Amino acid sequence: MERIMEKDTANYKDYSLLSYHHIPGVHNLEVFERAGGYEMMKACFDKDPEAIKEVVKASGLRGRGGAGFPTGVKWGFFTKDRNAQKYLLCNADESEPGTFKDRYLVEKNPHILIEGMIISAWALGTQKGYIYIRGEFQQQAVILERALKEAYAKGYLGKNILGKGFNFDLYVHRGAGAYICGEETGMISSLEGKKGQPKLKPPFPAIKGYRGLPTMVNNVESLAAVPWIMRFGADEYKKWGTEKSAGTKLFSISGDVNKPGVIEVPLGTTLKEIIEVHCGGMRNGNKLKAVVPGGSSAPVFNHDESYSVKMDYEDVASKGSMLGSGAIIVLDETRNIGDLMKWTLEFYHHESCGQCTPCREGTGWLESIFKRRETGKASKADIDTLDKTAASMRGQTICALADAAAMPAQGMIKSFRSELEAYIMTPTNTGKK
Amino acid sequence: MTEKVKLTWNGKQIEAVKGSNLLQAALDNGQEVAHYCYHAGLSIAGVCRMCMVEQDGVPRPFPSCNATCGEGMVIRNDTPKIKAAVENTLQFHLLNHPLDCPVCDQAGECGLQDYYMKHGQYDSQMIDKKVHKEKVQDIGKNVMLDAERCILCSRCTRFTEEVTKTNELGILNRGDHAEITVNENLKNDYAQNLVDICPVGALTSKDFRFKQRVWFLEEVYTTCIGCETGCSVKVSQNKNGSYRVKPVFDETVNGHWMCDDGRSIYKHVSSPTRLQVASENMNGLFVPADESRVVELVTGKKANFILSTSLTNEEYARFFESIKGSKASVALYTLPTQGPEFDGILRRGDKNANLRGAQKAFEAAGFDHTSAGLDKVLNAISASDVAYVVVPEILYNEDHFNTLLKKIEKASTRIALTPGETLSSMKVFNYLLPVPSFLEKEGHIVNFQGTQRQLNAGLSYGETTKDISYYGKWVNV
Amino acid sequence: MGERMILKKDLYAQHGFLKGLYLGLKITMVNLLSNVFKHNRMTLNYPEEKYFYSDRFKGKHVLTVKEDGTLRCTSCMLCSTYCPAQCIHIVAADDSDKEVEKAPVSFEIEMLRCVFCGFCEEACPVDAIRLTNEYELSGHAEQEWVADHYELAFRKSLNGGRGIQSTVDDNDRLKLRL
Repeated sequence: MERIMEKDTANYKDYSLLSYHHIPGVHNLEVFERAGGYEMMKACFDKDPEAIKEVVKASGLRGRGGAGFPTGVKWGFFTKDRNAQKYLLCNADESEPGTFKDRYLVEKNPHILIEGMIISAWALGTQKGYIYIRGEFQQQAVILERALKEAYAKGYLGKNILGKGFNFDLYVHRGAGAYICGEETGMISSLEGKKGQPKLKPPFPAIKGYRGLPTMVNNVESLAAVPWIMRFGADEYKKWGTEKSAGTKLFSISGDVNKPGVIEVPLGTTLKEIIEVHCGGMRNGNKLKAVVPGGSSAPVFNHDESYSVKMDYEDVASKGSMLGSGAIIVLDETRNIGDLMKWTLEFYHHESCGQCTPCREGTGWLESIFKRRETGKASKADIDTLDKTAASMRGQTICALADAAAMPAQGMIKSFRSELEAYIMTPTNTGKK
Repeated sequence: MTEKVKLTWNGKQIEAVKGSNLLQAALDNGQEVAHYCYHAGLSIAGVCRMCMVEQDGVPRPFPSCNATCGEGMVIRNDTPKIKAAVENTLQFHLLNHPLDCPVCDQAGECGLQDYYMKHGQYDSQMIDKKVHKEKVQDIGKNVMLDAERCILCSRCTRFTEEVTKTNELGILNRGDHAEITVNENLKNDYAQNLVDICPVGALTSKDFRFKQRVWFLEEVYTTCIGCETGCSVKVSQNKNGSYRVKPVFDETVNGHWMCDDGRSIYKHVSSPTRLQVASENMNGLFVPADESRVVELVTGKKANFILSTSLTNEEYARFFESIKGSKASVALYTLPTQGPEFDGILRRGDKNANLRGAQKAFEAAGFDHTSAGLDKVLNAISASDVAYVVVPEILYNEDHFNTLLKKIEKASTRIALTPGETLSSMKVFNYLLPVPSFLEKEGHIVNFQGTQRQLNAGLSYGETTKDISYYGKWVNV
Repeated sequence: MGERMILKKDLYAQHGFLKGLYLGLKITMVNLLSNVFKHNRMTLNYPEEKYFYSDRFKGKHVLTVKEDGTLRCTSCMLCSTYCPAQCIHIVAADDSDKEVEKAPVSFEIEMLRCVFCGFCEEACPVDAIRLTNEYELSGHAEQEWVADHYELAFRKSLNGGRGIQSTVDDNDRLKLRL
């Protein structure tokens, strides 16, 4: 450990998740191990599982999938009976439009995830784990499967890991590319071989999940952060970020910036810094118009809000949006908000699972209201109808998809009403019927 | 021991079993909660989002169907927030629902209509193209499917999954294109229950289809005589006839369901070929005849009665009372077993609705109810005798009955007491006399559990007030 | 009663009763003179001359037809439910056209029981039944007084026996089906 520390101190200081990413071929177990990988796993087998849970809880790590629920607290709900059959699921169904951080992580360094999962499994006492990976991530699934094979060959997975008497089997399950399978209960349904539809809560998966047994579902990024937290301790992790949003976070930045991509910065970094410093400023020097701060389901920020917001869970929420999965979509002034709205509504209409009525009918209707210009029926009052309909969908469904469709629509109406009115009143080429 | 808890619903104290379903507790206490997907006999889906309630101390509204009763809960569903939520959700339900009410059989007992009148937003804002799905699909077993009317409450898929375990129905596609489909035509013997549990007109009965509007019908609560289970049922009828049979919830016997065989037990009651008046056999044709001619014919002759097992306890008692002191011999014709003894849900192979009641009555009157007793009576019939046969109301196996009729041919006077239609095999009889059907008499039958089940009288069709004891009295004339 | 008396008293006080008398006589005189000199008589030489009632008249019923000539009626039974005289009898059946689904195989109105209230017209959700200004209803035996759907939709007086076509909201519906 010392050796590695000397070599890569700079990276460990700046990054928790991307600390290995500069090493060529780190997706090979051998390279990863030489760089210090799996050391923490070995060390953790000597620790008391409850102590590991405590460290994770103390670190203030929050679920990186979007909801931001503290991981340690979630682990606390899990059954403590180590002999009970239970599951650890890794949610790699990264389907939120604009998000590509998990893909990057899995592609570059699958072993950090596997190591994180083994430590978590030891802490939680689960003997079986699944990595539910999105169907479209073909290459990434292949990389993961290869990494698993390596880990099995090394004896890091399987029966009696490293002679510690602990069994942990890990499998990769490929999804079929439904947005809603990124929701934890939807993912469990899909994994069970059913239609990917979220389940009614309560009971929560931690009590009754996959096959009716206790199941812990964590995001790739959350699990991958565990080895670093175990290595340097909760206090070190907490030095990053703000008081309530500890640690670093991967942001996937797309849109009209000079250098889009995945970056890792501490939570609480201003959006201005992310755009100006990490992404090299706006493309062609255009003026920033709007930013979607947390994936397509987050309400947009207008120009002023974008430049004043700090990217942590609380500050983004206080400004009326959400950090979500950390997918930052930057739009410059050449973009039309109407197009973004149309695209967002189309997406959620397409992805609604069809279970709960407000979402099933609402998402479709939002889209048809917004597209009334195509049939020549549009009127300015449609924006009010849209706003009202979106509002009535919120908080009415099993999962958050209805909210995810309604929130950006309402956000855009709030910030860009006049532009949307102009948009819907412009007849399209399809014209009147 | 079930523990009771007290909770407050809209400011009113209600009592419920601890841990029981909150929605059911509210309904049991006469509170009104709009709901579509919840059904007490099925698992919880929580998808219709109509039964939302607010609880003190809980930040978000939640569906009451997925909550359990706890001590001291303070629940409201009459707050403006909940009312608005129900209104909006109903609007979403109706958004793509076709305006089929004029042609829909469910109209009049439709959940959408009911709640629309109570919670509806009367001004439609839907000017967009509705989503269209396939209409008028025959999915087998007398069930018609209209996917467009469906509100995807998933009651039917849960029924085939959980109750019959046959899984013929499923939901295909996502979002507003989701629709109920069959992977194969219905094959279970409880398919008609799907029609009952469908809260809208998506699943309708082919048998009942377009026969009557439901508001013209009134219900008679009675007991099914299709087999020895004795399910609680209601029969819908009006002055023109009976139209359908539906199950009535009865915890002790049938729960929420009934089998498809039981759905057709009403058919003979108002059938056009139902025997209405005493009829005489004129070379194979039955023509109305005067009863006094029959009385003349039977007077002074030895009577042999072969009773059926679908009569009520009271009828047996009255009958044995009426023939007291005569030399008449009485036997019991039991229907043969049909299919497996018990199919695991409700249906039983023993089709004798009131076998236990009949046996008891026979024993009390000192007659032999066994098949040996029947053979004895049949063998003893001589040419000068009168043979009365009470025709079983529901005849699953006509051939078996015909073999019985062969054996009474010895008697010169053969009389059928029939509560139903005139069958071709009845030509062996000289006279046919009508008796009340199960829908036209009050009384009790004893089912397989040995419990008394009530039969109730509805409207009567024809001359049906004379039961078998009336004819039994003729032996003493 | 008392109020009306006071009102009348006021009128008398304003105009005196003679004015009313003259006004009444004026109408009588005008009609008398115009009848005598202009032959503008109210009385008709029926049946040679016939009076034409307005379309609002509630006379003999008609069942409207669709563009293809079939009955518009979907046999929803709302008219027969609503009918205070219970004179409408409909027998419904499946229609081979899935879009139509339900259609009457028999539609009968007992004319002798009908009170011509027009409730059936109001109850109809599809404009299938209307009351026309046909008022000549006469017949002999009771059977003639039961009008079946041939009589109601295609009798000779209607559009040369072709029935009255109605397309109310058909276009709207078709538009929504696009």
